[in-house]
Amino acid sequence: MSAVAAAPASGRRLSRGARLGLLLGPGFICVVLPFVAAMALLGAYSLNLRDTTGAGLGLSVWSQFLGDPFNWRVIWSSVQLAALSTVITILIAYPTAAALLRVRNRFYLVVAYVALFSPLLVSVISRSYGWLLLLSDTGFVNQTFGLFGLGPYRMVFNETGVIIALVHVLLPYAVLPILNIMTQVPPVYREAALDLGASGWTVFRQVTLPLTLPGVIVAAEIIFALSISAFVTPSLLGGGRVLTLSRMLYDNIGLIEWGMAAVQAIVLLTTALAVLFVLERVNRATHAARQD
Amino acid sequence: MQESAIKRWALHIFLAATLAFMLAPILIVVVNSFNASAFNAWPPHGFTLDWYRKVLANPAFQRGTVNSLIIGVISTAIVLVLGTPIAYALARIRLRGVTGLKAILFAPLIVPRVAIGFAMFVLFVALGTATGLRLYGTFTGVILAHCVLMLPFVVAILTVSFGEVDPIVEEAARDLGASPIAAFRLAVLPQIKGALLVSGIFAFITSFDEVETTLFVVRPAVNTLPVEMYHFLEQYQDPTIAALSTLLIAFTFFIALAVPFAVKGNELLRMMTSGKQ
Repeated sequence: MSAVAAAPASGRRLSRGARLGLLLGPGFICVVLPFVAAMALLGAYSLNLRDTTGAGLGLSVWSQFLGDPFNWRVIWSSVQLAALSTVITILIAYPTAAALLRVRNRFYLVVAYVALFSPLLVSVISRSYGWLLLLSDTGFVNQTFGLFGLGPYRMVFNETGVIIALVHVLLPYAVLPILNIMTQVPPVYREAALDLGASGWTVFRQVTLPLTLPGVIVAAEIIFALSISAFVTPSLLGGGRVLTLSRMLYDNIGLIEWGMAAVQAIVLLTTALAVLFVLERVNRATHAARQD
Repeated sequence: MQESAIKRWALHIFLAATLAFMLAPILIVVVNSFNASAFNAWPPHGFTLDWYRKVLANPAFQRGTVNSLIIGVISTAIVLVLGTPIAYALARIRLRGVTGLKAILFAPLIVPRVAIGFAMFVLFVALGTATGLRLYGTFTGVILAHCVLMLPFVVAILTVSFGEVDPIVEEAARDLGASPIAAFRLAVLPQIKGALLVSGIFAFITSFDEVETTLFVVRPAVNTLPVEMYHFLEQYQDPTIAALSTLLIAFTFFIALAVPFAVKGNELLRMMTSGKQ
């Protein structure tokens, strides 16, 4: 690079800094800068910049939000909902990835991939509508249960429906990183353990699971971040009866409580980041444990 | 040593059940779009195409479709034009401080979409009162908001792709007297065509399906299709939305599967099936 730059043609060549500016400039000015400005303004609004209460600039909106136990309940239930969706998604994704690795038929494999990733190609509205149809009191699932004299079970407009629909869309995001790490574990490890007389369960617990754990943690990070911030699915499947932070934020804008909405947006972001931080620490700890 | 047949069968049955779970909501929407019952009675009461007639005659959905196509095409074009040089710079130029820029660039991937939507709304309103610039509830505003969401994806895909292109080809073109732009166009661009196509499709689908951010920055005149659908579904649940969803599913699957296949032949299929080795 330096040899080329020093060649006679160097007069035409710009410095690295100038090239970087030319290449990054347009995108950063047109798109990234507005985003940063918007986030900064969000912070300012949460500090009561757009004063509607007469309290002046300060932490009044924050103390109002944090002082209300109802808000804490909403935060807690949002976290619970996201955590539960994450755990269930991982529990389904892990064996799914393991099974995908064992598929030998190419056609079946293509079908499986298309089916697994289909939620990403279908609008969240269509998916939510599909789950409303399947899970409603007289819908397909309850009708099928009815044939066996079971139910009907209430599965829409409560947390059950929200979690089912969330797991559905989150599954592809979980399968991908888990599948990725499973392909990196050499099969000889398992075979060696089996040959040495370990039972299938022991091999899984002591060889396969520890080696694939980083993939599981990455998957959990992605899924948790996505599910805590989900808005349309909880809104439609919850029918307004499942209150999440994101839903509250939306409602506050309708009420022109912009300062409060700003606080909630920041709380939502902070909650997502806090959980990511914890999972990242767990990831490092398991890494360190494996190095020993 | 082979693993037990029971375990293999258990895994296969599990996979089949998962696939059924994944396809169920999509299949029921397609089936229900022909359901003669306005109350989504199951099993369907009879076959009808009425819901398709209703969708196609609905002015809100017509306008929404046109708006979504306009916004999707323009914002995809913008992020490709702005994202390609950024990805090129990230892949080729090592400079201190780039890590910080990267963090800001990729931040929209972590910030919840509702928060981005609300923040953009606040910015648009503030800019409107301060400068008279009209962004809230305009095409420009929605396109900008979509670009914020799409840019990190496009840059991420393209950076990987640029990293795989050997810089020596471009250097050779430059030494032979090509201008930087000509060298890029002739020596680099042909090698990242596939990644441009994939990221373009990805960006377009993201924009076309986006609801959570868009809800905050639209006004009825520029409502996108998913926003119209969201408001419709909040009030009615008859199969109209099933018919519209079926048309959309067909459209997105066509774009996502047929277009790359047509352009890149069997390559994608091979990538998919060999990825597991």
